[in-house]
Amino acid sequence: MDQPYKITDIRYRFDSFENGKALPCRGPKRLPAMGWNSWNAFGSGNTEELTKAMADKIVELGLDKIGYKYVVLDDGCYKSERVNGKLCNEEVKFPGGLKYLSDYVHSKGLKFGMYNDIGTNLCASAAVGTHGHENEDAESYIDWDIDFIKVDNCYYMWDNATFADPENARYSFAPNIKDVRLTGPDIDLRLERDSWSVSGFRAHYEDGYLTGIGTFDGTGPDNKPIDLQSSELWINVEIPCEGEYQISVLYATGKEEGIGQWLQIKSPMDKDGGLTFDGLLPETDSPTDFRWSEPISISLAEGANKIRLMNHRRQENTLVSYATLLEALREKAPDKDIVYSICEWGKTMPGDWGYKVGDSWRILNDITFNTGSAEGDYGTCRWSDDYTNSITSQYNKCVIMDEFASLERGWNDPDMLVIGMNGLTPEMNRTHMSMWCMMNSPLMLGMDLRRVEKDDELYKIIANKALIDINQDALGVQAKRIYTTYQCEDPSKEYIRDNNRVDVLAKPLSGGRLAVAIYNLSDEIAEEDISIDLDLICEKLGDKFPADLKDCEQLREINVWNGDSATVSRKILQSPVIIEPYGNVTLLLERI
Amino acid sequence: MLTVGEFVKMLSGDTSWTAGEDFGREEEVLLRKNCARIVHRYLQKVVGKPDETENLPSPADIPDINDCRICAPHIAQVIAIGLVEPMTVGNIKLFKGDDEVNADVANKLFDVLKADFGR
Repeated sequence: MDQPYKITDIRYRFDSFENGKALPCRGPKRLPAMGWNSWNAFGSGNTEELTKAMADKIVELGLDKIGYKYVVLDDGCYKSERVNGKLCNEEVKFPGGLKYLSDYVHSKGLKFGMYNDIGTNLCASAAVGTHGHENEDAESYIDWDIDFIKVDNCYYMWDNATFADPENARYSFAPNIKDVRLTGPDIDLRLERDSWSVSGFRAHYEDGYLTGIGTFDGTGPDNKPIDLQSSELWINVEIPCEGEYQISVLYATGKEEGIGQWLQIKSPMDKDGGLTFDGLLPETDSPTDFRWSEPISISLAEGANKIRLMNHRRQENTLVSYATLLEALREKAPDKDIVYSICEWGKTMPGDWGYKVGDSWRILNDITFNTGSAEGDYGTCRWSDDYTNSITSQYNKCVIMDEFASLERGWNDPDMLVIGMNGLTPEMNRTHMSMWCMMNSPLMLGMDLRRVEKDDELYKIIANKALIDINQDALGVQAKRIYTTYQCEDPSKEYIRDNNRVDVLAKPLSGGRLAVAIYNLSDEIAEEDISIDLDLICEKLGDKFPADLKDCEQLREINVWNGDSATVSRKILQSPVIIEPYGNVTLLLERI
Repeated sequence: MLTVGEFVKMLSGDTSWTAGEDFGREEEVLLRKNCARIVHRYLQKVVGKPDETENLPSPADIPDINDCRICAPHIAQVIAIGLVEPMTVGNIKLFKGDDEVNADVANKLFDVLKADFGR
């Protein structure tokens, strides 16, 4: 099996994640993408005929005029294997070929998107993942004239990702570490525990050794999506004179979440992307069978040195794989504008690094597994769920990830819209639409559009111009949760999974305006004493608060659902607030 | 050992219903997760059986049910119908989708299909 890429360029390293600089291959800054994706509607049963029908319907409904322009083929459109090394269309479902379909979509004035994967296979199993084929695949995609590509993370070689060998966890974490020894001219030190410190909150001591060095899996709903989710071991050592030394580690390897085999050692003398050590240590018999590594040469400076023992490869490998495909696309067509939609399901904390290559990054596993089918089943989604398969599972994470998103960086992606699927009431659909718009999420319709008629209930939700304007506002700022009825210290940072609550979000808009949304997430009518005024919003939004509103005493308040407007004072909400179960009140506020 | 192609032919001599489906290569060893996909799609497309909507298993019952997100709804259906049982591992139940389909599972599955759906 091939090994992870050798990384020599610091731009792909963990240490550059916070520098705010995108890779040269990244496209221009843009607002969240809007369009239709085939997955929720048809699963891998999508066809050429259905795709054309969806494109026709987008135009017929005028959805293209309000921003829905990308028509994206998800999984299920390729032959199960390559032909002469190249991707090919699945011939039963897509008999005309992918360029034909691309031309058809373009002829409607729409944009054409496709799907692939950074692993060896696509999620639905076809053995046509881009790994190792990035150049020829980029050529195909340029030939097919794509404007958008969603790139998945199944069957990934160096991570225990979905369908990947679970033992690939050995690449994702460092071994357990019990002791460290440093030798060299006039020095032979056992680097005792009092010289150790641990960053992040994941690693912990267990029976005299440190375990959990690496980046934890964010695919499921259990992990908080913010704060440092990867730990390092730092060893502080005083060195008498600059020179070459030898470092050895007493370690034990594993192949499971939290215990791996790949170690990174960084000395303060390491320059650029180079590391003192960046590779697999020899396997031990068990995660508690400790052995000393061979001595590793390390350059150290005179005086205090902080030696870092870590494994950031889970994030770095994933970034490199996503970058490799995008770089190939750019090389083939430097001026082609392609939206790059990262879909690694929040596994490797993509909020940290996604902005370097992607226009957006998925934050969790799928919003539903119950996709519809070509036979007329609309598929099913839920309001709440213990796993990721619900509107609130996605919302609860995304709502505290606002600091990752911006026009410069790109967007958190809580997955496609599920409006129009079974299992959801109109109230849920309206609140879902408001949430996604307030959170600057990509707006990818996921339903069979043939069930929508102009001005029907579904249409009025997906085509709500005021909400779409909030999502597409030129400022490009994701809303912040400024208040919740759930008892917590900081509503903007608390990861809350108990849906028995009301949240209030505020989003600055261009033109000195503000959007405020109140969500009742519970299944009972909310009658809450909530008091929200401009001062509170100003305090929570900080320098993002619209300057025009700072000294404003009277505002115009417009309800985005019914257009009702009223004049209000700085006290925007005064108790009691009454909202239907699963309901929302979404308001635009502007100075009078 | 059973392959995907062999299993599909065992379900129905006429395999035209698999056109456009994405079950993997015919010669691939049949895994439990793929078996669930094939059987559920067969029930939907050929038998015309409506999906179960109640008493579907959840990750709280079977922690690995979502490991294969493409297969998850299919796995839930075959468990709910009683076509494929989860396995007991220690104190918990697991679907173990990456395990091969053995003769016992295949025979039980065909027994249920015959008894409940006349197939």
